[in-house]
Amino acid sequence: MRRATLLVLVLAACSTPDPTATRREGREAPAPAGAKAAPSEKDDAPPAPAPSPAPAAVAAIGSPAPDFTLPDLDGKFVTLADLRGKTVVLEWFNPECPFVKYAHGEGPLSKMAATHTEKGIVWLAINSGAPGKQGAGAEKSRAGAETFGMAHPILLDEDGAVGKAYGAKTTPHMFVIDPEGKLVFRGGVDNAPMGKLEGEAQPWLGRALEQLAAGQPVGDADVPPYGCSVKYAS
Amino acid sequence: VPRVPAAALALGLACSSSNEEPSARPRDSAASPAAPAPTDDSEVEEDTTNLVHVEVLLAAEDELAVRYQIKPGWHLYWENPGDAGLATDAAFEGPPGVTFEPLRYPAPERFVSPGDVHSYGYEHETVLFARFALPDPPPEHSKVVAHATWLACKSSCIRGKADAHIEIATATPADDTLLVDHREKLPRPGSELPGRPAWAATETGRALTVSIAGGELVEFYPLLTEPARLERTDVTSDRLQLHYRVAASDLARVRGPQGVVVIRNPDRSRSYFRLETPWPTT
Repeated sequence: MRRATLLVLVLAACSTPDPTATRREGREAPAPAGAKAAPSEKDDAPPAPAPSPAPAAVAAIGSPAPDFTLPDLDGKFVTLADLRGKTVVLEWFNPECPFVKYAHGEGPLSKMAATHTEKGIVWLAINSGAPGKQGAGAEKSRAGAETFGMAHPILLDEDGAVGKAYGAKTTPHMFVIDPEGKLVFRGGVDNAPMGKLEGEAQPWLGRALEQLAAGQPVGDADVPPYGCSVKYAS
Repeated sequence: VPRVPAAALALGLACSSSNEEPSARPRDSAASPAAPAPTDDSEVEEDTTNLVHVEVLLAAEDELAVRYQIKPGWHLYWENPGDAGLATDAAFEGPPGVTFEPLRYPAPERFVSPGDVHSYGYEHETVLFARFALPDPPPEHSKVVAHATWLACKSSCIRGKADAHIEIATATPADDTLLVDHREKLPRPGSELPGRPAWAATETGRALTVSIAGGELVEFYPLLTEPARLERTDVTSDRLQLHYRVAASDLARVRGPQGVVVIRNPDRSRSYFRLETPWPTT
């Protein structure tokens, strides 16, 4: 079984790049992206909810955010569509990426999620690392959450379909979805990778959330991300 | 470490150069059956100490060179790392009165990772150059420390730092064979670029078109130009077109070079130029 899985992984790595081919082949359940990758072989994991097809194109600012259903570290599924009516922040996550360690340690994400969650915002970390890659999987995510003192859910997207649907390139790459379900921000937390400011300080994510809370349009809605590359399988 | 079936290993080696980061998969690894299995597990478990060795050399009478020797398979980043990564850096600390110019980076290579992540950097080795000036009279001691920092990535990314030092008054200039390949990749001034740049207004901002004469355009490495954001780059053999999203009200705040242009000369050698066309103000 282990040998067969490895063979599939290697073959998958050889396939031609095709955004529609990111879902792992050979699994029977056509559940939404990531749902198949429920935390490590838990027999008692709840069954995957009804499938929702992975979007083909990368999400655009002002357009409906791609829906997804992904498991958290306890195997509980979270569906974006169920969060309609709330502002949702997506944070691409790799607990072993130096940028994530910095951001959650001394950096800008150390208290930001907790502060905004208190105000009613839903904050979800998503780990799109493929099995075996740096920081991937439930175990490492859980260890990271403990180290960083993260209270918000971490969702697993091990086949990377959700990450690619959003065009998530780095960890931490941030996305904001408004209460109507539209994507209203994507980019870096700020313009200071690892705390090193590039020009005039731009607290992009914080400002976007403030503008959204005030009912204003997000000024800088599409800004450059920074960080480690998301450790996709292919 | 899980055992990898031989067939899978062979397939992995055979296809590794096309789908993975080129840097993470040296092409010649396929030639050696004893090469480590390119599984994800091996990358995570690899010994990641001593990924980079740093030394500082005297490149010329008034110039220092910080040399980064990089473990095979790993890479460091250019001054603009691209979609992911972090600029390799060195901060100098010397006797009072000694001044250092900003670092000069050789033109990088492009790495493409899964997820269409484009980054720019160096494999194997790179050298960053910095000119310095001594005060008059020269200082009594001449020790200069280079505080080098970097992010090294393969499949994983590891942050690193090291200090290297040199006595600038007594050091012998380094053997130029160590530095020549890197020095040749230092971009020449934009005024020497064999091309005609022209700006045009677009729906979302401004587009810069550069027609190249006397060589073949092979690559463009962008620098950060916030608040103008490069949204699309079109490269043909004789024309570069850069589409920037920028609000008219922000134009006055945009400055700095657009990037580095690489041109293949008729004799197949390559030349490197800064593209530093003045930004339109209206």
